[in-house]
Amino acid sequence: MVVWTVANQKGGVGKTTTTIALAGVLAEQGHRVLLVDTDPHASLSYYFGIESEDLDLSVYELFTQVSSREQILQTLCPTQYPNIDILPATMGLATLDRSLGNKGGMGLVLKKAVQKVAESYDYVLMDCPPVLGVLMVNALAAADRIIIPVQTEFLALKGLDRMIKTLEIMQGEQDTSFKYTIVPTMFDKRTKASILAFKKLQEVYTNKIWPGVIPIDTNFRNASFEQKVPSDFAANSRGTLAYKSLLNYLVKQSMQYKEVER
Amino acid sequence: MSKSLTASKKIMKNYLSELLTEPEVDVESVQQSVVKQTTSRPLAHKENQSLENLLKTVNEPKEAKVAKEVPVTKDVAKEVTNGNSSDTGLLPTSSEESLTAAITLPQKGYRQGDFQAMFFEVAGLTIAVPLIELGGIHKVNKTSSLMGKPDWFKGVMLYRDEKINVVDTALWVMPEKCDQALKDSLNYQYIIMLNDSSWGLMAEHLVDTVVLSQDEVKWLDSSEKRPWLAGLVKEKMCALLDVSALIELLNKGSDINQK
Ligand SMILES: Nc1ncnc2c1ncn2[C@@H]1O[C@H](COP(=O)(O)OP(=O)(O)OP(=O)(O)O)[C@@H](O)[C@H]1O
Ligand SMILES: [Mg+2]
Repeated sequence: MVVWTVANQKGGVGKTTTTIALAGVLAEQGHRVLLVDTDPHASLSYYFGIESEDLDLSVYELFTQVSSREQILQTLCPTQYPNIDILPATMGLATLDRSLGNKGGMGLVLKKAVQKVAESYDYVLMDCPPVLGVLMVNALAAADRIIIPVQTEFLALKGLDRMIKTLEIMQGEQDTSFKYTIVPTMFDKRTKASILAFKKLQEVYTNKIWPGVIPIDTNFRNASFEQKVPSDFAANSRGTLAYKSLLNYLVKQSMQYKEVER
Repeated sequence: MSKSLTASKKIMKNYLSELLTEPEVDVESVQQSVVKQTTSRPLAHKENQSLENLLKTVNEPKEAKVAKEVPVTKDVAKEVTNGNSSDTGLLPTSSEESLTAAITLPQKGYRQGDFQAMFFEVAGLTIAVPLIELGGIHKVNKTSSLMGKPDWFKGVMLYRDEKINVVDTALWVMPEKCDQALKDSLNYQYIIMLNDSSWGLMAEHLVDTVVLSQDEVKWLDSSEKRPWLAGLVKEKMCALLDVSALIELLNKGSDINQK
């Protein structure tokens, strides 16, 4: 089992889209995928038609009670894709930071939880809220690799800087170093700003950045209306192809650093 | 300014340290203490559904293969670190095997539909590489040169535990044009890694990444004279590399003229 966490403290950069698109391609390739929604807005859960406020169990309960493997499996929701299951989020998650404060070790809850279902999945993809808090810390601590989508525009670069700093500080608290891959998203080849931002990213982050780009593609929004993963909705769209190429690169990177050999 | 930054960094550090350090008392008991009473029965039907799904994944032949796929990948990872290469459906082909694959199976990943290519520059020359065969990009660092190697073999660069064989791209691509003046003018900044091989091409500038359709490239399939050339990108009239063939040539120590 490999855990990839999609995170950026900046909102609207394509985190949820990236999580879903990668999950779709992985599932299509026959891998068993578990999605973990850690965003109280539950947009990932909602994407798959899950009304998480109607559920009795969600990621929230993992934080309030010790969960066995069976209990975690009960919390999972199936999706219309047989290879994709999801651990849904609820609004209640937003209260965690207040109720738990920074109780010792509470950053490791998700890591322990997914380890209990490791045999059932090949890939676990975690979607993060755009705020640094107990949820993002949990998702980061559980990750074998962190995927950081960043919009190809200058304001987003600033946010990226902050995100990397967070990782660096957090790294000091863990025994392993973080592996992360920056993914330029919403690239518009017709705008100069996009191209300039892309070049700047390459210059500053060279080997930490995927050399490709996720282009602007209206298929992403349309796919979400139909609650389909992009690779199912528009298999040969530019957006889907870009995510396929990203996945390829991530797998290569993971093998290089032997993340898959855990 | 910098003082407050340090202060905020400290706060962050404490916060994270707290969250990520196991307390003396087991976390699980802390969790117990904040238990929210879950009165209702967990969704029994959900449980069945997801169990059913899990069972499905075990039973169906397609999924059964899947279940094995992770161990396969593991083996590949081992082989890769041993310097060998292998091929799973998921991975782009590499070195030896890819050449045979290219003969028996001419359709490469980028030979259908749209694909992305990255353009880089060397001595005024623009070269494109299909993203799917790009292994990564490094900043140029100190290379230690080796004796008895061809001119174009710039040397070995260490990145973490990895040894990168660095190719002086200008010398490889246009040996006859490389006089001292040109050599002196080269300002290499990046190393473009070829697929999962340990070969990297030096580049002066990264230009951009472009989505190409099949007919935006003039394909030069099975060119015996220039196996390293997959085709020409029409708009920019620049070379699109056949990465696996190029790796093969580099492994043999051949230059562009296959000498
Ligand atoms: N490459 C793209 N081209 C066009 N639209 C996109 C692309 N990527 C994402 N979008 C759209 O942009 C919006 C924001 O994307 P998304 O929800 O993935 O971002 P996010 O980082 O998860 O946001 P948040 O921080 O709010 O969770 C969505 O409507 C999505 O459909
Ligand atoms: Mg989101």
